[in-house]
Formats: sequence, structure tokens, C-alpha cells
Amino acid sequence: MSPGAAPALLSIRLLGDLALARGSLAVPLPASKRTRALLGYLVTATRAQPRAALCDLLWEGPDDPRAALRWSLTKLRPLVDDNNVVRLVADRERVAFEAQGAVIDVEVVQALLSGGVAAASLEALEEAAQALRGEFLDGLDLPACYRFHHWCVGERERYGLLRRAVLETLVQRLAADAARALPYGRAMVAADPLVEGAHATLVRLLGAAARYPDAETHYSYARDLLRREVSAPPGGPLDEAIHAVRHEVRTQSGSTKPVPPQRPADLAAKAAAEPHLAAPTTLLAPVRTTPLTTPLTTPLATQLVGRHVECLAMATYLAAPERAPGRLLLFVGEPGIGKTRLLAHLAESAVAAGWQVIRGRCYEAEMVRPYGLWLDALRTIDASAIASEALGDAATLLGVRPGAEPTGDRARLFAAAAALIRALASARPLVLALDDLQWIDEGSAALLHYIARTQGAGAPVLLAGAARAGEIDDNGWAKGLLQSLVREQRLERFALAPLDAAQAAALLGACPIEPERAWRESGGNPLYLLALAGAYGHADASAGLAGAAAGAGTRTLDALLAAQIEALDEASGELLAWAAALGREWHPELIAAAMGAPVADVLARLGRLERRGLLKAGGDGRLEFTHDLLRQAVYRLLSQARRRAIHRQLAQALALASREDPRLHGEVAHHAGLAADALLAARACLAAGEQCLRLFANGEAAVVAERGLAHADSLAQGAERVHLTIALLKLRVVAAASPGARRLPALVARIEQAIEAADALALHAEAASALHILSWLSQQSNDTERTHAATLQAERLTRQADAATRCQQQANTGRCLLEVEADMPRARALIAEAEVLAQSLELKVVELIWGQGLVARADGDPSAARSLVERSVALARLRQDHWREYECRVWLALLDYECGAFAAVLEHRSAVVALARRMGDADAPFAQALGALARLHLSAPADAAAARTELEASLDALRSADDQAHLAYALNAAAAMDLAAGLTAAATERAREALKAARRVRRPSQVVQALATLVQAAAGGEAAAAQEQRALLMELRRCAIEHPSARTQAALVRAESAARQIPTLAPTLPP
Amino acid sequence: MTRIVVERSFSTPQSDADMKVVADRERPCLAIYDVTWKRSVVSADRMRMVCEYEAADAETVRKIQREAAADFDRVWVVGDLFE
Repeated sequence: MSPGAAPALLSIRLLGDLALARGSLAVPLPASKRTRALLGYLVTATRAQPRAALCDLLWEGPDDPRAALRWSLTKLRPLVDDNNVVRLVADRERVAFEAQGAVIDVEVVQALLSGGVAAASLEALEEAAQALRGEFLDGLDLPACYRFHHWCVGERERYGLLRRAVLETLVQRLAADAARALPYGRAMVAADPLVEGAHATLVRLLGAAARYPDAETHYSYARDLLRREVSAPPGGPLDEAIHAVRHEVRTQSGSTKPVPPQRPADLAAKAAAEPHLAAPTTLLAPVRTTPLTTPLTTPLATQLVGRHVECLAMATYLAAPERAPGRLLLFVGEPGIGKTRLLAHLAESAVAAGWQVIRGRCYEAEMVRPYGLWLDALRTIDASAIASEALGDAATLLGVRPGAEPTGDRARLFAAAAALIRALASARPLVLALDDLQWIDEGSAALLHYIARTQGAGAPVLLAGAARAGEIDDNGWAKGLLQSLVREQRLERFALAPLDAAQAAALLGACPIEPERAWRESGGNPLYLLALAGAYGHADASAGLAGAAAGAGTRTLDALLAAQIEALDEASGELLAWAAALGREWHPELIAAAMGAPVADVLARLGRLERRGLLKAGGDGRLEFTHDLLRQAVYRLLSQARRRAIHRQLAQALALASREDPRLHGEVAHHAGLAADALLAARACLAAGEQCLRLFANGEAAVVAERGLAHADSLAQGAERVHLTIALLKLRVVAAASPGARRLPALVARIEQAIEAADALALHAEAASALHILSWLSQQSNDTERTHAATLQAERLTRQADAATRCQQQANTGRCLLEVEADMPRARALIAEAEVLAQSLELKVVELIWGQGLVARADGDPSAARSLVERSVALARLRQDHWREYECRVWLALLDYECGAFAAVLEHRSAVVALARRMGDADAPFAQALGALARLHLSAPADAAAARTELEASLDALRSADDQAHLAYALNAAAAMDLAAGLTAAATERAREALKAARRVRRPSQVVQALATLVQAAAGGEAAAAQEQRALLMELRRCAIEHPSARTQAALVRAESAARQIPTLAPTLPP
Repeated sequence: MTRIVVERSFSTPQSDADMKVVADRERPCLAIYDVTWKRSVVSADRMRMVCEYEAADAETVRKIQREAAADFDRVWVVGDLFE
């Protein structure tokens, strides 16, 4: 641009792949993902961001985050600033993006919908739907930067909701024009493939557009998908939709015979007629046009073209092994430029020259799997061919003996690994070919450096690696490794340039595609060229290059790959989706387990994908994508909701496998994090971190601990969160305590918060554990005063924890005995003992206060009992002990009933029902029964019938739940009311049932109440044989003596008084 | 006494150690509430479990599950037994 020329309008796309354009020209973005993520974040942020916050967002870790931020800003400035317009405004503290006239797609969408979705015009909605097609910042997934990840996922969900609202409104507005509404119906399904309503809408639209066979086809597909993935039961909206469509078809045709589904070719023709907005009906695959007969992409094992400098360097080292030790040949370039192909060439040449080759690869998904690179690389070694002394300690670390624990320390481990490599190389020169080093983990990087430094001339080892330009700078460990090797003059770096026109033509070989045009379009990227050739293979032969190129147009490599993947059949596309989410090479059995599909079926589908050049065989029976760009292209076709569902199932399958193989904990954490399953992720991070410590990978342990803490922070308050937080804090401190650690983390405030949370929940053991960490940390910081205070407090809490456990156990046993009325003297003694313990240590124990309340009730002091149980409710609620809060509230309702506070009973009923639902129960029948009884007491005669119906329903519910103790209580209470109302027959019937229930669960107090009611009913005229009346009273007397309490005594007095009014009974009674 | 069945399902597979922790929590309650554990059946993937008890009523067994913080889906009374 000349200085005087007006700059072309800058436009920024955040929905979909992040893209910048000036006028119609795309602006190339930096290769560093974090730098692109920074741009996306700053453009979205509405105000200036503190530099510290941006560092925490994207660069929290062991390296220098502020320097990384500065570096990224220098890369971004030239892209967004114009000559006289500064958009990236930064000072020492803050950074802001100011649009200054730049067009930002999300702002355009907001302007279109400024008055709300419902008020927007049809045109505005259609334009908004077009803009909202892509996921927010698609492809910029950085699960390791958990703060950015959570923010990004949150934004995706926000725009996902907006997209759903826009599409739903469009479908409603276009109800009269089904053909025009159809693409939006398809887009709804693509955006939310696991939402039944979206599929139902599409089925209805297809029916309304007179495409009945398509409606049936989609119905079958959706029914199977929803059953398999979300266990959706039949009979929902989807079934209603297809029934409505079938009914309409029958009505129109006057026939009951369904119309047969159309052939795929017909479907394809119709799908092609729809606008490009139409998303695939299936997850990945729209309708296929023709069967595939050739590979979608040409497998990468093609001839090597160009790269003469690199080949010469390789040949030199292979010819002179003595020059090789300790040097790393590094091939750097953009994705698809041919780095992996060069490593493959090196491997082929080395084998031809009599060398042996070990290949390894790093994966983005497992940057927290310690020594992942080496574990995979050395898995291919034939351990039986190596002398056992050479295997040494390395055997345990490197997976030669899975499950075994290493001994010694990291230095010993590294020495053993280096000795193993030397032992291999002394037999035959060795090439170590290591791919995708931009994703290397800390342990692997340190071990690679160690091996480079310690190789001797007697055992030639040539190290070769490949890494993506730009992305390697995002990984502090990779960057540090390369800087060290440069300083030691051990690194030879080769930047791979794009192929020139002649080389491109040579690569395309016999493919009848115009080489010059393909070269221009691909920019000389070999993978792009091969993808173009693959697309040509599937284009209509008569259309020639025009067909392939028109399909490709000016699309990016990603788009070209995506288009080819979309052409797959449904089952293959489905399987690829799972493989893409997994993110690394995998055993077919794992995918089958996660998908819940038969292994044989998965193997057959994998075979097809391998033949089409999408997958390739790795070592040890595993498979992987032929190129990671293919994997990314597949992954981008998945909606956010679908990604989450797949990651959840992968996390669960891996969690199962991690029980046998602790190396998988990191992967569980990765997938659980992406599934937003914070509990599983936090637990897996803890397990993964502990595994890292066992393998002396302290740097990774620290990273995993931080990640786990972030997950724990998003858990609901409660014991589980406190437990995990404290365990992860301990892990974080231990990880930082290694001799090589640079600095101790500033964790004091977080530990103190955790102690406070543990105290509030009476988790004394956890609080003591956190205090021990604090004590140690303070000691390291030479804070003597804090160390002393924390140590003393920890000691006190440890004693308190033991005493609290004892107190809790005693109170619990006492309270249980009181509830079941089994051994009152022992129950009282236990509660008294627990009380002494609690007083001496100032403990507050829910069970104890609850038990004291029950003792007060037994002693005939319902008011004191009520007050104590009310305190236990408050304490249980504070500690989020839902079950105890529920139980105590039920008791409170019962006590209020016995005190005659019927209005309060109704309030308790509502609270108890709400708590029951929170715990997963549908209802709380005893609370409902107490509520109904209270209503009967409160009701005017006109309301009594409704209250009685409610009472009978709750009694039925108690019978149905087989809750005999509460049934006996409710029946006795109802019988007492009947008796008071002169309904002696009803009272007798209820009391007889209560007696049976009370005897079954051995509740003497309820037996007494039932017997007393029966005697009273007899006195009121209810017929009973004198002998039976006498037997009832005798049993009542015996029970009252054996189980003395205020309530049994009162019942006995009532019954005795009634018995004396029965003429046939009174004379025969003993005093 | 009545035969009672407890159905359980888990979000992650349960190891022997996981099940032992719950069983240890449950044991004292069983004694106090006079409930006898009879047997348990675990699915091959260890994601589901069915336990059988003898108790006075189903609610007593429910109470023990809650008190021992044992996950359960439903509790029901055995009607007929076919072997």
C-alpha cells in the first residue's frame, strides 16, 4: 500500500475460522494459535485488558508470559493497524483493541438483531443466520489454556443460543413456505444434532415441502442417533412429527400405504438444489452422490519432490555416522508442507543404509502425558532382544513393563534411558525420527535434550525432528529445548519452503489437472496439491479441472479437506468424528467401547477409511489420520454440543481403561475438560498429576494441578470440591518443590481459602492437611510466624479430626437407635458421651443436635426437641449435607404437628419436597401426609374433602414405597382425628393397619398408639369381643412398661380411661 | 422380613476398592437397622449393580443407602423369586 492511498476496509470474522481481510484480500494470520486466540479475545473484549490477565489467559506456565505476550502483540500490530490508525492500543499495564471503523462480524450480527430476535425483519434474520453458521473462533481450541478455553466455550454457547433463536424464528416465520424454511431446519439440526425438537422440526418441514421419503429417511437416522447417544425414549416430538407427516400423506393420497423412500441419487439431486446454507442432515455427511471408488486424498507415501538441501544433509550424516551423535536435524514449516514426508524419506534412506529407525510423534491432546513421545517411540522396540541390564530403570519408565513404577530419581531415569539408546545404537546406528515437536511435553523435551547431550561417538544416534513454524513458539518446553540446542550448536534447522511450479507439476505426475493453476491455488503446499488431485479424482470427469477447481474455487486447504470428508457415507463419517475428537493414534477397541459399537463393525469401517487414504496404520495395531489437518477438518464439522457429547463418552471409556493403565489419566482429564465434566476432569487431573510425580515429571504435574484447580473451582460448593481443591493444592506445592523448580507458586491465599471452606463444612482432616501444606510453604518462604501458627493449628485440627470422627460415630449410632426405638438406655448414653466430646473440642455435629432433639421428644418436651432439631436443620444446610437437612426437616414437621403448629407443618412440607427433588426423589410422601393431616386440622369443613383426598393419596404413596414406620405414624394420627370426629369404624380400620405396620418394623411407640386407639374406639361403640379388648389393653400395658416415654404414658392413660367405660371389660381388668 | 432390591448405576466404572468403601460405610447402619445384606451383582462394565437385602421394609433400606452416601436409582420389594 502506498503511503498516500486510503487503506482498504479491515474486516474481521470471529464466527467460523478467525479471518482478517482488507477489502476482498485475505490477510494471512500468524501461525501461533495463542497469538490468534489473543486477537480473537481482544477484538471481542469491550474494554482494555490488563496485561497480567492476558498472560493468565494464554501463557500461564513456567516460561516468561509477559515476553510471550509482547511477542504476540508485535505479530498482530501490522495486521490490524493502518498507517494513521492504531487499533491495538497498549501501554505498560493494559492492551485494548479499538475497531476504528473495522467491520467485525459479531457486531454486525448484534446490530441486525439489536431490537431482539423476535422483532428483527426476515431479511435481517436471514443475514444473521448466514453470519452465525460457524462456531465462534472455530479451530482455536486451546484446552491447555483453561481460562481461555472456558471463555471460548462460553462464547460459543452464547452464539449457539443466538443461532438457535434465529433459526427457530426463521422457521416459524417461513411456516407457509416450507421449501425456503428447509435450509434453516437443516441448519438447526447441524447446530444441535442431539436436540430432538430440531429433528422433529426438520421432519415436519420435509413433510410440508412434499418430501415424504426424505422425512422418513431423516426420521430413521435421527431416531437411531438419539437412541444411541442420549438414550432418548420413543414417543417424543420426533415420533409425533413423523406421525403427523404420515397422517398428512395418507389424507392426501387417500391411501394407508406409505410411499417408499427415494433412491440416494434422487435425494442428492434435491439436496444439491438447496441453497449452500443447508447444513448436512447427518452429522458429517449430506447425501452422497456417487459411490466412492478411489481414495479421497492421495496417501502421503508418494514420491519425494524437491528438498535437495535437506536430503543432502541427511545423506551426509547417514554416510558418516561418527558426525551424527548429539545433533538434531529439525524440519520446520507450515502444516502440509512435507515435514512428515521428509522424516519418512530419512527413515527409508536410513534403513537402506543399514541403520535402524525408531519413530515417535507428539500429540496436541496429550501435552500432559509425561514422556508421551518416548513411551510411543520405544514401544516399537523388541525388548526381548536387549540385554536386561541395558533395559534397567528405563524399562519401567518407557512402558516396556507396563504398570511398573520407576525407582530412584529423574537423573537416574534419564541416565537409564540414554544408556538404553546407546545400547541399541552400539549394535547398529540409530535414527530417532520425532514428529510434531511443537506439542512435546516437558518430560520428553528434557529427556530429548539429555540424550542429545550424552550420546558418544561409539554409538551413533541421529536425531531428526519436525515442527510447525509458529506453533513451536507457543510451547515453552519446545522453545526452551531448541534454544538450548542452538546454544550448544547441536541444532540444524531447515525451514521448508513451498514447492515451485516445476516441483508441483512433478508431484501431480499423471493427474490430469492443470499444474500451473493447481500450483497457484495451493501456494505450493504439497498436501493442498494432493487434496486438489484427490478432489479431481471425484469430480465429474467430463468437467475436468474446471469441475475440481470450481468445487475448490478459492477455498482454503481446510475447506477442500472438509468438502471431501462431507462426501463420506454416514457410518464412516460418524466413526471419523470420534477418531477426530480422540486426537491421537488409537486402538479400534477404544473407539468401539466409547461408541458402544461392535468391534467387528468398527474394524470394517476403519478398513474402508484406511483404503481411502484418510487413516493410516500406526504401530501396535493402532490407527491415526494420515494428516492432522484432516483430523482438524473433521473436528470442525462437529457442533459444539456434539463435540461435548463425544468427549464425554471418550472420557468415560478412557477412565475405565485408566484403571489398568495410569498413563491414561491425562487423556481422561483432557476429554473430561472438553466435555465440561468438571468433577471427572478434576479427579483425573489429580490422578494424572500424581502419576507425573511418580515419573519425576514435576513441570507437567504443576500444569495438571493448575488445570485441576480450575475445574475444581467450577464445582458446586461441598465436601467433594474441598477435598479435591486441597489435594490439588498439595500436588501443586509438591510439584514446585523439586530441586529444579524455579519458584514456589503464590498459593497462600488459595490455601487459606481452602482451609476456611473445609472448616465451614467441618472437614477437619482436610483442613489439617491444608494447614500442613501452608506450614511447609511458609517455612520455605522463611515466614516463621505463619509456619508456627499453621503447624499448631494443623496439630489441633488433626486431634480434632480424630475426636470429631469419634463424636460423629457415637452421635450417629445414638440417633439411629432413637429413631428405631431399639435400645433407649444405650442411645441416651451414646448421645451423652458424644455431647461431652463435642463440648471439650467445641465441635458442632449435626447428628448430635438431632439426637438431643429426639431425646427431648422422648422425655416429653416437644418444644425443646423442636428447637434442637431446628438447629440441626440450620447446621446441615450450612454444611450442604442435603440428606441430613432433609431428615431433620421431616422431624421438624413431625414435631410441629405434635405441637399443634399446623401452619408451620405446611411450610416444612414445601421445603422437604423441594429437598427430596434436589436429591433425585420424585416426592416426599410422609411430608405430604403430615401436610394433609395439618390441612385437615386447619380446614374449614368445605375444604375437608380435598384434604382427605390428599391424605389418602399420601397414605397410598407410603404403602407403595413400603415405608412402614411413617405409614404407621400417619395412620395413627389420622385414626386419632377420626376418633375425635366420632368416626370409630374408620379409626379402627386405620389403627388396625397402623398396628400391623408398626409391628412389622418394631416401633413400640406406634404399637402403643394403635392399641390405645383401638381400645378407645371400642369404648366409643365399635364392636369387639371382650376377650379381644382385654388382650389389646394387656399388650398396651406391657408395651408402655417396656418402652416408657411421655407419649406412651399419655396413650396408656387415654386407653385406660376409655376401657373403664366399656361395661363388659371394666369388671375384668386387673388394677 | 422382606426381600428388598437396590438398583444402582454409576457414571464411571466402580473398582473393588470403590465398592468396599461404600460397603464399609454401610455396615454399621445395617446392624443398627437390623438389615441383612444377601448378595450383589455387578455388570461386566462395572457401571451397574443390583444388591439384595432382607429388611423390615424398603424405606429402611433407602435410609441406609442415603446415610451411607451410596448411589442408587431405585429400591423395590421382591415379589416372586424365580431361580
